[in-house]
Amino acid sequence: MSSKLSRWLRLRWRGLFRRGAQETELDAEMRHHLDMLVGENIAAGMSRGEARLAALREFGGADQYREECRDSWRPAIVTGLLGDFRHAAKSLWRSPGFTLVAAITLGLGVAVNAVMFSVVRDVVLRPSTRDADLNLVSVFTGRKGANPDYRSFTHAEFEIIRESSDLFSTVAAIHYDVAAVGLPDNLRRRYVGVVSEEFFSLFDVKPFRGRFFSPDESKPNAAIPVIVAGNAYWESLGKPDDFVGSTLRINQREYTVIGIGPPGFVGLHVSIGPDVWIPLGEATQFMGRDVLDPSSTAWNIAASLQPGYSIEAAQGRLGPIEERITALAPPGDQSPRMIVVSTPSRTSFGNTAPQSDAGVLSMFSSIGMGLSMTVLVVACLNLANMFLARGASRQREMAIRLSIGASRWHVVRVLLAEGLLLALLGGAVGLFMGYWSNEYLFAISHETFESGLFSLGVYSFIDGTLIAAVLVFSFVATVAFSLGPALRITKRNVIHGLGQQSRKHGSTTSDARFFSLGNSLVMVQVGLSLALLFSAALFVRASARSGEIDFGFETGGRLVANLDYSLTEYSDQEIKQRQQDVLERASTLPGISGAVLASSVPYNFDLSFRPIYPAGGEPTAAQDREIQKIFAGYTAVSSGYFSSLGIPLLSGRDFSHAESSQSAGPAVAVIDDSLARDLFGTDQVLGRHVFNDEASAQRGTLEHAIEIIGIVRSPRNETFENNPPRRIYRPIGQVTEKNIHLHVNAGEPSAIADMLRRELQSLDPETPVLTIRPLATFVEKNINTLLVKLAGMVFGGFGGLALFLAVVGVYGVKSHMVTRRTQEIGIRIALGGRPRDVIRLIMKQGILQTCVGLGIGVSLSFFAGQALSGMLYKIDSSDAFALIGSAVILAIATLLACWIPARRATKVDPMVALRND
Amino acid sequence: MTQTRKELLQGTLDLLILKTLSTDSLHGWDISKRIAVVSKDRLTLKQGSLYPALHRLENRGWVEAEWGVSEAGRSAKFYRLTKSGRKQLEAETKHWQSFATAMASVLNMEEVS
Repeated sequence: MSSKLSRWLRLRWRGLFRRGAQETELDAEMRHHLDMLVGENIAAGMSRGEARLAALREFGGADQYREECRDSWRPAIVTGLLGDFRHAAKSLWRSPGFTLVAAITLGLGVAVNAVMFSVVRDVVLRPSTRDADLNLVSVFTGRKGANPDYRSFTHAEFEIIRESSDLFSTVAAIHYDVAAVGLPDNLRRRYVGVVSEEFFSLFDVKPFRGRFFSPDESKPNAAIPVIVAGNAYWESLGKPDDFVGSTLRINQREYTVIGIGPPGFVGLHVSIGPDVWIPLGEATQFMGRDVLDPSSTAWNIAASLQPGYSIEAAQGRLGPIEERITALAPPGDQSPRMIVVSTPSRTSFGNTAPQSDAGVLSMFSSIGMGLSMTVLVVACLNLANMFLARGASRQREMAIRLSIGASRWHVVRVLLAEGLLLALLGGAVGLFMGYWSNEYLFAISHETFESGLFSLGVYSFIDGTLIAAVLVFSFVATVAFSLGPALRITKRNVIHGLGQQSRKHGSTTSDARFFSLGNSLVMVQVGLSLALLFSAALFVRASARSGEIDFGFETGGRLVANLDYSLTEYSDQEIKQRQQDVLERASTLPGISGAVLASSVPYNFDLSFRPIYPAGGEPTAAQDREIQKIFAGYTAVSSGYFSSLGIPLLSGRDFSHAESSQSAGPAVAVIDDSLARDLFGTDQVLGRHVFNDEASAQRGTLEHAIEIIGIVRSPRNETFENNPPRRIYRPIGQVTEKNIHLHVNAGEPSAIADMLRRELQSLDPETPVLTIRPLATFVEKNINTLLVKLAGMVFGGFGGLALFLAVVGVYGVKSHMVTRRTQEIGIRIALGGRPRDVIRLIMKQGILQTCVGLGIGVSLSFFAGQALSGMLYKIDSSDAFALIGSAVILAIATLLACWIPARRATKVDPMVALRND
Repeated sequence: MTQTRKELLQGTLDLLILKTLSTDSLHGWDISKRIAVVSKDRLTLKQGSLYPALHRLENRGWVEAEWGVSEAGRSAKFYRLTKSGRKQLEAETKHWQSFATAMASVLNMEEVS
């Protein structure tokens, strides 16, 4: 049996690939036979020449036999397919223009889908399959009852959950924080994850270099200063070979790098993650409070459920854990606690309450995929049209093939083979273009994160899944764009095709009909393109709007230096003194027209929200619990801050120099108008008081009250916020803020950055200068600003593509039509038709078709707008300006694409046209 | 030569080749000689047409080929019947015989009447 198989295989192999050897053997075999015949004839008494002729006669037509042998060598179906492909390749090669345009058209469609797919793969597919494979959950705790008031876990609670091994197989504690990483001359503020030893085994990852944490290093208060670096961070340092074993300074403490994480690994989240992981044993040193302290709620918990447990099943068995955790609480606060397990959030850091982001992610990706699929559909419509046009001019060829006995299936197969070849070609072009644009997008986002806090962990663009996806896109496209036309072309009856020559004139041919297949495809395509263009316009307008909004402060000509004195060993008193010194020195520097201090910067990540309590005001609508409080942003500033940033002072006064530099004197504050209204129901609040701690507010005496001395309009803090946040400002002299931002006004901010850094270092070598950046970059590099800008670019690209493809499609169909009607036009001109009449003839149809297409497009746009308005915050789904604008652009473009062939038609020389076969 | 040479009926060449190869492994020239001798030269066939037939049979797995040295000392391709070829020969022979019998009885009947 096996010898039979191997023989069969050998024969097939030779039949397909070793044809040369087989030919040689056949020749030898036949020559042997002929020689024997010749020999026999000579022996019978013939001359050599006669013998040879007689032998050949006897043998028969050697060439024909050879051909018959060859036929038996190759399996029929393979011969057929190979033949189809060879034929298809030849015919594509013969029309390079068509092939090139078709491959690029398809390539563009495939490229956007490949890029979009890679995003979906990285953001949705991969994390969710991973989470499902590992049975990963996040664990949360809150109070039982209506107001759960979720919080992070204490270490003791973490241990209880870790011990519940009947339910959880691996439990890891995670605490995210921001830390200053690096040496004073190159300090950077980055996200850092403090994790328990189980963290890496939870995700089942292996170190890229070195090792992960040991149980000893993870023990509370072990104080072994080691870290594991993220792969992206190591990469951003230039991939130093000796990185493992080197030391890295984080918040004034030296850590030894013991390992590097695997590429693309960022923990629970999508693509962004911390630069450095610190073991739980270092938590006390790192966070500055005892990790074992019962009030130290710092830990988020991620865990894998025991195999077989679903989230719902696990949720039902948490009772014993809840009891043990409730029992941990100090007597007097024994309110029962509850534990919740849920799918991990992949978009938010350090969240303590369960929330689902699956909806957001899948909506984003389905809209993105939807739009990019539409681009592919438009590309395919184009291709179908090109195939139809080409097919029409090959009608005679097809008719001849069919009439000499080729089956319709066979002709369709050749056309399909052409389509498949084009699909592969287009897929290759698409993969290349996709790779290129992905690199470009990656470079842009990398720049973004450079100034942010996170590292971007990115997988390689091309992998098996992506190539499979591209093949699927291409294949679907092939069937869509070549099967239809193939069936249609071959349907024409033979007589019609052969008689084409004599019937070439006449506007009755189907190509000229208003609703011919080609024209209908163009109309649908114009419609789809309008929908895409409209979507793009919405994004671009949202992006532009985010750049035009009134920030509420001035960004130009200002430089911000971040000094974090929590990184120094100075006492609070020394820190305040040094901050005043810095302010003083900075204001006297040449080229600087003013300097102020502030504890936060607009458009920076703002974590400063705290409760504010009104003193003795009328009760307001914003009632919360028994003591009224309002959460507000908090910024400590030096005197002159408001005028320096151009923040308008509505009433009252700025802080005085004394308030700004001395802690003595009555406590004062400036608040913004919206906080004033929320606290007191009016913005006439000068001279009124607020508290910033609950105890004083409960006593209600003015002893610890803060007097409101001014009202400002707060600057915007976010791209998407409709209203600036409520905010309270305190003079920097009356509070201690270790992390401050020195704002200086300078004509040319970037020019003086180095000088400023040198001056600050010379004032005090220990000055903890983190970054010096123009204020404008806080707005430009804000993640939301960038996201909108990026979306605008990507979707603008979609729209541009759609426009381009629509123009190519219309142009193709119209110019083909003109070619087909050359004779008719020639006759019209010969009979005295003016060029204008010819143009009108062609344009009239074009205009009507564009109108029909736009009609289709408007209704499609309505749906597109509805879908998008769910995703984009500041979008008017029926934005008339965007719709009309897109329609006008599309109309002009398509009419132009019509007009060029029409112009060409007027140049038809009647003599040539009539002589044309 | 009193006897006329008969053109081969379609489809009979394969059977002839299989039969010829049933006893020996032979090369093309030998096969054609053998057929001529056994049929007493009454069957005519263009000798070249052997080769497509041989390759077809090889492709179907009924014969297999091997290069060897002929009696004349030249290298030649020798064909040999495979197991399935032998089965095919039996089936074909039976088929041919029943066909021939049927033909004969029909023709005889006509002669009688």
